[in-house]
Amino acid sequence: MKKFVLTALCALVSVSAFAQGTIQLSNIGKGIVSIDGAAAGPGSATVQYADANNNLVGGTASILGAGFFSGGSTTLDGLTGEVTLKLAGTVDGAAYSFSDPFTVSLGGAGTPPSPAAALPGDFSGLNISTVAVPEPSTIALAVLGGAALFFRRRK
Amino acid sequence: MRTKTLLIAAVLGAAGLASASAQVTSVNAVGYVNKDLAAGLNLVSNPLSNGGNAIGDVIPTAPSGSVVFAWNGAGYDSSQFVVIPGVLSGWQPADLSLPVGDGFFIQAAEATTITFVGEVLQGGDSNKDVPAGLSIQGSTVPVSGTMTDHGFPAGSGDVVFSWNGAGFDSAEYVVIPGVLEGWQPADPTLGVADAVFVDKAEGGAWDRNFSIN
Repeated sequence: MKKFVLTALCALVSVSAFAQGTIQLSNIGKGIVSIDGAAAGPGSATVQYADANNNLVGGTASILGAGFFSGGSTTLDGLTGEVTLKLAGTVDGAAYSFSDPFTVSLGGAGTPPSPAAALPGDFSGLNISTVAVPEPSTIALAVLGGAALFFRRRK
Repeated sequence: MRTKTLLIAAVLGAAGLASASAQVTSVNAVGYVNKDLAAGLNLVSNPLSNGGNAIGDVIPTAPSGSVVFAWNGAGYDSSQFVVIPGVLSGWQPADLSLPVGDGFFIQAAEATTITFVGEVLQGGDSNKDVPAGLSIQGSTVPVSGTMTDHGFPAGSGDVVFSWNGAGFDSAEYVVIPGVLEGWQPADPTLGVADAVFVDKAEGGAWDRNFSIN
């Protein structure tokens, strides 16, 4: 019995290890990528997909122009079937910005395998913000420092 | 599906070397095939030879955002027709090859008609091998018929998957000695520029030896 359970677990692990869906890395005809509100120019940003927890997945694509990219199909290791994704974008490798989440049924499933999925038709786009927003902990430290200075002066 | 095939100008090199000892003639048939595509996925094949059969030669234009998915034996290679006014217009990437008779998915951004232009393959050029396992197959010549009409090298256990616009209908080649041999439940139809997914038990030669004469 123990042997059977172990074998079943191993099989499950190996199946999930090979689980992978496909999606097109393209927004042609969909919402565009902008940087601080202006359509992204050629090569100005890099995009890729992220899961619902903002973990980056799959390959990357560069902007072709006018906020559009077309980087072929990409494989999302560990993801299959219907998933929630976001489009993530960065300028010069700085902090990523993320689009609103969307749900899509990934390709690569079935026999014969289905072709790669596409961004939903109502994908609204992605705005990459290059304005640094302080982390909450940084803000808290600044407030504490200010308060300390204030009390020290009063003494 | 409306498929219009016009074979024009058959004789390009009908060289009449009338000599007492030898006569050499060369007949090339060139023409075009219009293929209607529904919005979304369509399973089609290239019916005519055009240069190196690069995607830009086979399908010069398509609605922006349309994607071609060609089977590579394990997954799909894809190329997208991208129109960004003032920036670029064409297939990305452009080096995808679509040999005559090889099938591929094309995801049309909207309903449209694409036009294949080129030469009809004849003789040994119209023959090809079908590998074991999964592949996308179309006819190497612009002719419509069933798989049997096309002379497809069917063997026991072969399965054909025909795209119905939303999923696959399948047919299996069944051999029960002394009882029956043939496609079940029906012999799949392969129209001009159509393609089917094939799961072949053993590889085989698909010899057409086609001639327009």
